[in-house]
Amino acid sequence: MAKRRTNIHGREGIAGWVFTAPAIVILGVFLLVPILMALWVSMTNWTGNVDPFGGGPNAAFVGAKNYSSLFLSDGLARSDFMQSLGNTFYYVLLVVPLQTATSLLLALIVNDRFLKGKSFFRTAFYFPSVTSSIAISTVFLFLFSNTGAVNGLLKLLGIDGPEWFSDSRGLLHLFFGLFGAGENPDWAQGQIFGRSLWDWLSGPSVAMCVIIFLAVWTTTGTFMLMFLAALQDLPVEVDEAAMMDGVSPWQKLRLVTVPMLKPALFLVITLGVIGTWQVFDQIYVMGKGAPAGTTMTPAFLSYNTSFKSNGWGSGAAMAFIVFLIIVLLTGWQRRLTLRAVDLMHSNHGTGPTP
Amino acid sequence: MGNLYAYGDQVKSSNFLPSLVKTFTYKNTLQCAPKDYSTLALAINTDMWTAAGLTDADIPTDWAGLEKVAKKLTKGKVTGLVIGNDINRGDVFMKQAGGWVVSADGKTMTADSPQNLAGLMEIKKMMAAGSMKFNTDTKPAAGWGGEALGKGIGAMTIEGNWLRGSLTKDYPNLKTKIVSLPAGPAGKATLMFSNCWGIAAKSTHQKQAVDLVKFLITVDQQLAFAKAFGPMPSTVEGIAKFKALYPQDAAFAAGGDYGQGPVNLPGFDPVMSAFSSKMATLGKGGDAKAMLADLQKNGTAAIAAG
Repeated sequence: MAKRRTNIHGREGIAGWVFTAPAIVILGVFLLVPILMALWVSMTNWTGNVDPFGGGPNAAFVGAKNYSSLFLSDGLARSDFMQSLGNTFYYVLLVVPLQTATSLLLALIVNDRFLKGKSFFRTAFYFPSVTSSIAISTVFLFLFSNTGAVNGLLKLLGIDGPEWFSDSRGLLHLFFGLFGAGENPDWAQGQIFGRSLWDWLSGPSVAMCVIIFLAVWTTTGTFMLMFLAALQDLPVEVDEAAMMDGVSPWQKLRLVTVPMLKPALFLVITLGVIGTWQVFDQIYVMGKGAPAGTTMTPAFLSYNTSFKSNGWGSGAAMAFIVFLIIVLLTGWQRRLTLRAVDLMHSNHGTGPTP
Repeated sequence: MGNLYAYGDQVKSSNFLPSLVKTFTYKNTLQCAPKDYSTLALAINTDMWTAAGLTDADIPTDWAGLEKVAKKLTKGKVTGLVIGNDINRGDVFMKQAGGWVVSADGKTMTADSPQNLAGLMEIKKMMAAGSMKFNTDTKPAAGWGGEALGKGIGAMTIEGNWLRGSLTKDYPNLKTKIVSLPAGPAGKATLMFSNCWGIAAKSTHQKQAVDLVKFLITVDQQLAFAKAFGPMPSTVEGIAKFKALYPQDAAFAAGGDYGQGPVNLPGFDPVMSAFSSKMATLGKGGDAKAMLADLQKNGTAAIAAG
């Protein structure tokens, strides 16, 4: 009997491998192998004109030098990379909360049972998300040009609008300026990775704010849809029970609806963090890092270093560092959300397993 | 760096302009045949010029003269001088003040010098006075200096030979005059832009490619290019004929005698583009001294690595 069982299991094993083989081959060829190849390139000084795995002076193995030069050696590679990290940090910090809050708000609005013309609003809110980001970026270039519609509107209100795309002043710098902190005050002279504290604290530049606004505007539609799907899955009884208990609309939202939306919230925030750290096409269209490098992002810098300066090793290293940042942030955020969900379950006693 | 076939020795006999030979010589070898070149000059909208009560006698020959006419031409929505917001226009002021990014032999950085600072401070001074603006800071913003001139946003601009073709095509009714750039404290200076015919190091038809290049750099061919696109012939004989054929572009041709080529050392692309990007903030309180110090630091690192 025992012998026969192993035979059966042996055949099952083979069958299992056969059934999963197509997926494994596809994932391997198009995902795993390219990642490993890129990892190898990130540890060479490949110049792009020879076989990257062939060795020789144009594709020599240099170990972790591409990585260490981004953090430890004083030079342009580090200062550019650190500036791009700083820019993207502020970008993520503003875009993710804004897009999550806005899309939740929009979802709540279009989910309202008493709203008329629901499908019109759903389409309207979703529209920016289905339009090509390049096209929208171009439209924004016109809207925010020096004499564009936005500045025209500001003029009606008596405000002399800024030259959006050539204004490199950071928002926090402008804010500190209100309290009399001048250019480069003494307390902010400490250096972190070769960049002064004052530079790290610049906040997003005026030009970056336009891109932040654009990103929020284009992504909320998709996330609204995810929230909407989750909202429509919520049991109506709970809502009604809450109403019977006499909660105010705000209390209902805060204590009933949002806790039940935790899985959707996790999904939206995760996708938001991943998407924002990878921002590329808007940057490519709207200034390529100008003014003064304040809209430079790691993804765009990686492209520039690889394709424009033939520094493929350094470019690949940047991509892996961003990958690592995204993985760490997502893991950290997953733990936070799961803990919150667990807490909720223990409070309620029962609940669906996550 | 190994991508191009160095065939310069086979075409040396064509007698190229010395400044071009210098631009394309790396490690004491001429790498390739210079295709053509362009220089920067001052282009003036003559209608605005006369409307402001200026005459030929007012054509600026130094910075003080430039400041004076730019101020007179600035009126309402028109800015006296509109230039491109990068090193390819701004650096000319550094050169006119007697500075440059690297030493003549390309071995040491000379960015952090009082001359370069004087050049950038002149830009800042004129921008503070409102008589000079970068193309991105005008209202409406212009794509480049030529567009600013063509649309009447700026009364003057600093551009190269390509301006000519664009003006005839896009703004045929605009009356312009092209004069040499005013001299700075260290004398006359302009920037020079050039291309060269590249042949792939891996090509299996290098001999045929060299033959084609030899044909393309003959005087007749180069003058045909000049007629079609505007750039000037790269040979001494060609440029002499160009001067005779196009007297209105004499200011561009004259720049060939004292023009400064771009910095084209290995690894300098990101260094110069970082500096260029910072230069665009000069009109908005950009710190000229700090950007030169950064350029000095980054350039020194690039020379050490290259």
